[in-house]
Amino acid sequence: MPNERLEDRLKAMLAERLMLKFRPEEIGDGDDLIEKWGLESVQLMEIVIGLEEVFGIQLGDDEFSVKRFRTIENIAGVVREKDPRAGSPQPAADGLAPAG
Amino acid sequence: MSETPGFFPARDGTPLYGVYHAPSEASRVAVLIAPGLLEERKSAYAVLAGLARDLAAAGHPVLRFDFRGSGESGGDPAARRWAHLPADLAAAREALLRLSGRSAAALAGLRLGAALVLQEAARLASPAVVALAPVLKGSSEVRLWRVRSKMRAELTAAPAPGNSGTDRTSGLSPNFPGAALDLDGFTVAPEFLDDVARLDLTACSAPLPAPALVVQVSHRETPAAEHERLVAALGPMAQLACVRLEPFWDRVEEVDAGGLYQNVRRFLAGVSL
Repeated sequence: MPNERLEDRLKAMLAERLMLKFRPEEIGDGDDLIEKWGLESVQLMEIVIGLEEVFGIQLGDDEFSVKRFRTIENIAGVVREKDPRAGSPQPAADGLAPAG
Repeated sequence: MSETPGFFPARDGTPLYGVYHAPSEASRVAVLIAPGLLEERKSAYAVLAGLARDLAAAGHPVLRFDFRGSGESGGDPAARRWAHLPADLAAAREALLRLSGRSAAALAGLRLGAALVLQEAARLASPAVVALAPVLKGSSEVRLWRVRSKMRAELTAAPAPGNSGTDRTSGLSPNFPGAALDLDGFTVAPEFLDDVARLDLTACSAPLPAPALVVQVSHRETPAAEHERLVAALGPMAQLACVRLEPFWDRVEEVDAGGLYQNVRRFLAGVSL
């Protein structure tokens, strides 16, 4: 896959960091991660840490709410809001970096 | 092997609970296991009990215990300060030395317990230290506690009339600096939050005078930079092990901690009596 959507990168991050027992592509962009996939508050925290570590997103203490981390779509919205460049398709890990 | 539960007094008389694991043949260094605190102590209970049994089977006399205001120990959690914990650790070490007939004990700890054993190892003349997933920066930990508490409050708040069940943002509990924190049913006093926020192992600059094993427990099989920095700061006798394992101190589900046990057992087998 030459390019990865932000949503797919987020799913891959979730699957890796949370050591999920299911494949990331099984998660729908709009799936409720709590109701459908059984994530708990502590795992939402792991997503927050992942956004900070992997995407370099810094969140203020007043920016946390369950709603913003409840679906992949919403998490992608947080990332785009904080860093519009992060929302662009990115080279896959083994792909070539864009020129220039 | 036998397991003997019981109480021993902290220096101020607070009864501390512990379980002594006596090996069939005590051929290795005695080990004191310091747990985490709050929810982490509860979630990690089975893994630390398993570690104690694993080490006892390998010939280590082991004592695992609860800090004051935690688990089965006495003391008011609201009155607990960080300054109490070194004294509790020292009292537990004395109990282990008495029970095992040894003159020294290796210290092992999980999360805040790991930060504490690294802090106290030199003072307690520990012949070896095992730090399992140590809390490196207290201020970051307290921030995460606050965020988690806020999210948890949102998840457990009753839906307001007319609201759907998926947008439960009403009923937030106070969650600001200076207030006590409700962390999944464990109330954390503001003074203790301040104490923890002051912890900073990333600023650690004094090498340990004893072998140390820092265990990174995470989804990664490669070391994180902050763990590498800590091990470098602990000096040439420190080493890092990366164990790919769910953060069991945060999980309700059972985990297979065999890899963790193996790393700790191997390290302690090399520590002379």
